[in-house]
Amino acid sequence: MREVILSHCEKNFVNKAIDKETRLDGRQLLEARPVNIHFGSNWGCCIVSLGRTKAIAQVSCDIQKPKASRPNEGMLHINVELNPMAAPFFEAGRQSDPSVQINRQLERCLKDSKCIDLESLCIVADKKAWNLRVDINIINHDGNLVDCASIAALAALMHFHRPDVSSSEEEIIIHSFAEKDPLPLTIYHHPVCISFLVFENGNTIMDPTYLEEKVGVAQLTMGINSYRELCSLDFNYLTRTSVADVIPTISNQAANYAAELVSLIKESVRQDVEARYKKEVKNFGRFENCIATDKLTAMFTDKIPIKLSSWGKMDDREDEIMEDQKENEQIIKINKNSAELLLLKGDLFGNGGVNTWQNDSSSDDEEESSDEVVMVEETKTKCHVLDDIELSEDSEEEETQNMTKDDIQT
Amino acid sequence: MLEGDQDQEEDQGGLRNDGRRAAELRKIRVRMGVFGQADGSAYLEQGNTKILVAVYGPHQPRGSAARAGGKNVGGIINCQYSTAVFSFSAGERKRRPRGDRKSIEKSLQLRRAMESIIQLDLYPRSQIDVFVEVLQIDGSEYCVAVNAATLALIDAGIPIKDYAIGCTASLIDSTSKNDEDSSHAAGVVDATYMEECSPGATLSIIALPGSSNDATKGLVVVAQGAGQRLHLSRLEALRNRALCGCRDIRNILDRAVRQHLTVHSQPSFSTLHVID
Amino acid sequence: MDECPPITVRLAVDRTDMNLTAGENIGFYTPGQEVSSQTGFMRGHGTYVDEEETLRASVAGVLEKVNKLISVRPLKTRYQGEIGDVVVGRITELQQKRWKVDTNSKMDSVLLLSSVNLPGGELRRRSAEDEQTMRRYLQEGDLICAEVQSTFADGSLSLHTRVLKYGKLSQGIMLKVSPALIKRKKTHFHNLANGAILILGNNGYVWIGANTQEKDQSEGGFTQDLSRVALQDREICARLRNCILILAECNILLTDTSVTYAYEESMKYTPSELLQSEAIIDVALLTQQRLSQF
Repeated sequence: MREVILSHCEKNFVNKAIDKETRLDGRQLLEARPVNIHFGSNWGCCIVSLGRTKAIAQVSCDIQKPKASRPNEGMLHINVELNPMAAPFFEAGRQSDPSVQINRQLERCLKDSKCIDLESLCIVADKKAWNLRVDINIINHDGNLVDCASIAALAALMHFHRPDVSSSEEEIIIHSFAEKDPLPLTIYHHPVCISFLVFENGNTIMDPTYLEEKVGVAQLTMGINSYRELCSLDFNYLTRTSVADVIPTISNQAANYAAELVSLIKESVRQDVEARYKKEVKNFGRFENCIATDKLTAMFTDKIPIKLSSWGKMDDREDEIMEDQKENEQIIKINKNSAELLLLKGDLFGNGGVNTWQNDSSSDDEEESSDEVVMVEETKTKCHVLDDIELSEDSEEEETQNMTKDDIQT
Repeated sequence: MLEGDQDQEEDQGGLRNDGRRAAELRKIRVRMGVFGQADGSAYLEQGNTKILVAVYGPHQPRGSAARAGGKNVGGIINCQYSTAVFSFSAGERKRRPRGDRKSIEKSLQLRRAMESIIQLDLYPRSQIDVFVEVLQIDGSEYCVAVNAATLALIDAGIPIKDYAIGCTASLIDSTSKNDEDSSHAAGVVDATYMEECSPGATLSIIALPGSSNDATKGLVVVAQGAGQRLHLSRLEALRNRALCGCRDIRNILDRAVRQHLTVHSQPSFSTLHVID
Repeated sequence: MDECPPITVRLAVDRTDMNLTAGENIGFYTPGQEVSSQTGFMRGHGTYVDEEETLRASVAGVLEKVNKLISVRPLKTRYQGEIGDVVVGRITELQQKRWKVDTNSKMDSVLLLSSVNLPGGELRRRSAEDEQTMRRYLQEGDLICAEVQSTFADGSLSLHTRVLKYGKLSQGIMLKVSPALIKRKKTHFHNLANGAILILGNNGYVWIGANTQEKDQSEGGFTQDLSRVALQDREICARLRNCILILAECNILLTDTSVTYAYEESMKYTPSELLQSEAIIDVALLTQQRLSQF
């Protein structure tokens, strides 16, 4: 399937919005989307979501003969897979231009910067060494694949533990995880890719979405570690329009954000690894938690972003009942440590998010424990009340049904 | 071995391994119009990096490009970057000339550079092919390829905005702090293979330097940094150094083009131009 | 057959700079060079206006100024078609009611079925049957000679062969030279004194036709005369080919006069000797000298 060409009016709209320093999702120009990292059951496996862009990474290792040119170093392979699952215009099983570009950017960022101690991965010089392989699958494309993939790759590498090895004269023994504790990789510094996009009028934005990527005129990706050191740089013109050089002006911002991002990755990796060391069951930051985050009935999120009437103010509240009279939002106390926000205004619906509350509540009825059932019903009733009062013109399924009945009667 | 070389370098009074100063380019040899069959062609040597480029077109789109870009309003540029299997000086052979990730990436970036200068709106529904063959590698080969491709486009008479000039600037050892005052602190231009492999960082810049003499005014089209770690504070100096190199190369290539014109505008025989 | 032709090997260091004329630098323009910053000039081929309203050259070549129109002409470029030009081309593709012709232009030219003479008279309707049998008249790879009828908006050309001198070419050699070397003249068809037919296409394609019997034109120029060409005539064609390549190599404009001069000057060599650089220089110098006498 061929990529859909963006219409002129869409382009103009985005350009005009950027002119006025607004972005379609309400972010500041130099503001990135929230990053979420969830770890899988294995070492070195994680899902990273950057807004709606999602990537899954898995590190694996095996023992191979080291390269002749580097006999006492292990190897690192990075492979980014763009398949039609992420976006229908990606072709499966072929080296396309974007996949090569992302692959090379990550290779320069992670491999050429020598951030991983490859010498410690050598077991017997010139004979046996660990071969690390990072596979990154993009599973949802909403722009800025490089950043998402680089965060995923870095988090997976930091999270990864390899089996311990003991070598006698002739043979080497790979210990299973049960025999000896696995060992983490040695990482000297932590580079991440930070992407920017320059528009016709010279405005630069951080972390572009898919739509913005189609409109921008130049793209810039910097691989920076937390010590303000540049590991890779890619600057490309996408169209034939000249804009001023932006690298000096935004490199500072990039470095600050990189430091922030790296500390975030470090923190989430540390939490997960510690939980694993203690062998305690961790009920956050796992794969199963990342699936249902967008749904209205999702009870798992402990942080709920509440959009206030002024853009750019993000408020994270816990254990608190908030009643906002201006907005059609309501928080219902559910249990001790979570609150549910019902976005009854068009925020979810208008964005094309699926209105799943009805179906899910019914399924929840069947599956969940009894006290939650009560709670869900409470939600339901409240919703109905609100519907009647305020949502007369909003598209609500029950409403439309009523309408048709009325039509039939008259 | 590399470390030893650098120590030596400190003793050489600011000269590099090959005796150049920090902002000094290698010897450039140019020959345009080397093929009869192609619409435009050029051969470029920068030191021991030797590159041949052939340009075909603009012509009727053929092959896969015709099917993919059938509805394309502007023209199509098709670039192929291939490295000869014998191009390494160390005697080792490259397994295949093209199709690996690095070659595809370079083809892609070469296309970006060419798209930024060719006035594609003049050639609706036409195709321009740029074939690059790297004959010998001694550092900066991607930048030399862009320079050679620009010359081939000029030879083919295809309208371009300006010369697209590539130049590398390399910080030989970014970790050493003691040479802050020496000229190497801002990086060395037109890096050789040895300098690129050193544990520093290399910045490759493709710019449109323009005909003005202000070096830092050039419009950067493609920039690529590789190597190990480079502190952000040193990026600006490195970039300016590379842009200076771009301007110098432009002047040299411009002279070569003028000489080529002089020779070929009158009944004459082609000659090899050697310009320092 | 153990007798080999002599092999000529020269050292590269013996190559000498053989500029016929001393290189004087007349005003050349290179891409990006400022042509004029004044307004009031019209932008012609090979120039562009940048963001600061400055007129700059976009190709490397010589400046041409016609009143207010400024253009820069490159030394070598693809053929830019003009109505009335004589072109030599090769059929590349057959489409509905049309042939696609490669004419060294930036896109393939079009030869419509309605703009050729079909056998059996001028005023013939083109039936569906004609469309189906188009390949019988011209198929892929055939060489034709045609005139440019009109240009399309995107710059591609429409050709016609409605005059009997145009049509399919049968036996001979096609050469490709730079279109800039062909001078626009009244006639581009030349019957040389040695019997060969020379067509200097404006698009830089040159046709050397072997000396054959007078063509029967009643079939609309679609018959190919495949009768045997005498060895002597073949040699004439080969010599002409080498002479034209010599002239092209030395950037001497191709006209019937220059080709004839070169042909006459080359008589002291055998056709194969004309490939050697000494012979090339000799013939080119003598031709140039004779041309400059008039």
